[in-house]
Amino acid sequence: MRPLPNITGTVGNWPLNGSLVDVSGMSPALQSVDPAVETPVAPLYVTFDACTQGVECLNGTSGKLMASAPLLRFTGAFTFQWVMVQLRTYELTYFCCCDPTLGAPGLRNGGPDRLGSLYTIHSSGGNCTIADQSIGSNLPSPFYGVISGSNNTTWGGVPGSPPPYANPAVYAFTCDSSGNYSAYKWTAPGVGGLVGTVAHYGSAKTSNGTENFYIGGIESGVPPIYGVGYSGGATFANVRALNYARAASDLAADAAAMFGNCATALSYRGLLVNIRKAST
Amino acid sequence: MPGLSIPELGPVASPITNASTTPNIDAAWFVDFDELGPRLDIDVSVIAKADAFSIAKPRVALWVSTNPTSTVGGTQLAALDLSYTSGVYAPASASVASLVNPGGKQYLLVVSQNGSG
Repeated sequence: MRPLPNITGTVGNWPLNGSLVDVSGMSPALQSVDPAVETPVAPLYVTFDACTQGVECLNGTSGKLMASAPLLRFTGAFTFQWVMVQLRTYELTYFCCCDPTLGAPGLRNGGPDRLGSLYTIHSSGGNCTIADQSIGSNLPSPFYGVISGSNNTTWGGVPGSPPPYANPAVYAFTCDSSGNYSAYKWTAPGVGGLVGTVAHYGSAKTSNGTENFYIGGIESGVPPIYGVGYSGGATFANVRALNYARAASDLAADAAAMFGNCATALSYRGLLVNIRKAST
Repeated sequence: MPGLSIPELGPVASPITNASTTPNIDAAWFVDFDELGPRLDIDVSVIAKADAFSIAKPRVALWVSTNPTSTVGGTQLAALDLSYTSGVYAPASASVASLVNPGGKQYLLVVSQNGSG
């Protein structure tokens, strides 16, 4: 898998490749925090392939990712693109921008987390931007319902077993200026794409300037619901945020690029080599 | 002959396909190393960018080889790691002093590859 480059409109770009640093230069580094109380916990990096790591966002064990990122307080169009392995979709929040003082602590108690949210991309209720706390229409599969419930089929059901982070998929989520969203998933280059669209739902809201940006977070249950301290969740990598709704054709091209091997394209602007008789 | 200067390499794009097994040859120059002394100093400076990034840093290395399209059987003379540029051109330079002259008429290869760390 390959991370995406910075392009015009990039406001956040976190490869999560052993680091929580934003490489766009537009947003701060993420912090790994406990999902319930938002105190720092060590990020748990997992390996997808030879050039891709990611961060595991589970419940109470490896947390969610948080940043105070003003440019991600979208009140208009936006796009998220990322690589993900879903361990379970049960009450999983993918991305959220909300005021942590208005809802229940963390993102694990169902609806209240969406109080004060500018947007919440969630496995069982999708809110687009310019929407408040109302739970909108359910997100389409695979964001909702694919492996929800108590059985972690992706993991294989072996508590404490090494996570098999094979076969990560590329996801994208766009919201246009009217608040209509489109969800995409690719399982391989050219395989997949648009999985659903939902019209705008919710009332308009203006940022109060205090919202935090979150990646991941389980909304229900106390660990361990399943396995050893794990209740589901997802691993994230190569997260890029844009301040506009990227066109479907561009998203498909991006997805194909993300499925590329570990290659890095190097471009030269200048190269000067000087070989001379040794001075000593 | 006091030295050999290779002029600037213009904008080219080169995929780095694999860190150690298949380095990508970006440029090659034919050099008569016998015209130089028994030991060499090498300076290399580059302005480059990585359009994507991986765990390993991109690296530019200088090799000598009798084959302009392969480093097999050749020798790496010098290498420099580039910064985590993520799409931004950035300068880098390195020097290697008092290197044993490989001798002969060989190709000097500029090779891009994944570095370490």
